[in-house]
Amino acid sequence: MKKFQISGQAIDVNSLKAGMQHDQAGAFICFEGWVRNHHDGRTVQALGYQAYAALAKTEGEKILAEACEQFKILDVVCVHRTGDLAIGDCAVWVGVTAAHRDAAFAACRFVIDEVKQRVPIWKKERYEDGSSDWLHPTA
Amino acid sequence: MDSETMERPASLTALYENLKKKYQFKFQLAHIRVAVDGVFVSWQHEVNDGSEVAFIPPVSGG
Repeated sequence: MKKFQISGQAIDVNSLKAGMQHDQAGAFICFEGWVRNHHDGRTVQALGYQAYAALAKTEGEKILAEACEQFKILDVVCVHRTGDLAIGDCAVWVGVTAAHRDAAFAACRFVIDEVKQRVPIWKKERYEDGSSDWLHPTA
Repeated sequence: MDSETMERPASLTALYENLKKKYQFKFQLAHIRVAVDGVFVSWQHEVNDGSEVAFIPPVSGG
C-alpha cells in the first residue's frame, strides 16, 4: 500500500489507525484536518478539493520519505480527500508511529506543514451568499 | 481537460508568459511552480517536444 493517498471517498480514520499498530511503537500521533464553517469572517457551507493527482502522489510520497529520513519514526501515512466535503468532514489525515513521542510529534507536524505548502491540491469554498472561491494562500 | 498543441517554446518562462497574456492568468511567474511530465522542475528545465507542462498556482490543501 502506498503511504500517501488521494481519496475521493470518506477517510476511514479507525481503520487507518488500526493499520499502524506496531510492536515497537511507544507513540502514535495523528493529525486530522476538518472542514470548518468559516474563513476570513465568512460563513462556509461546504467545500471541494481538486488535486493534480499524479503529481500530488509523487510529491506526497517524497514528503513522507523526507519525514522518515529526518525523524526517528517507525511509520507514517497520509491521506488527503478530493471531491465535495461537508462541514466536519475529515479533509486530511496524518498518522505517525515512533518508539518515543518527541519524534512522532515532530514528524507529524512536518508532514502536515509540507503537505499544505507543496502538494498540488486546491480548495474551493462555497459561502452562505451563494458565491464560491478557489483559495490561493500567497496570491 | 482541454488541451492545446503548440510550437515548442524557447523556455518554460516564455511559455508561461505567452499563456498568461493569452488567457489572462492572474498569477505572476514568481507565485507559480512548474512541473514537466509529472515532476516538479526548475524554470531552467529544457522543454522537449511532446512534454506535458503543468503550471501550479499556490496550493491550498490540508
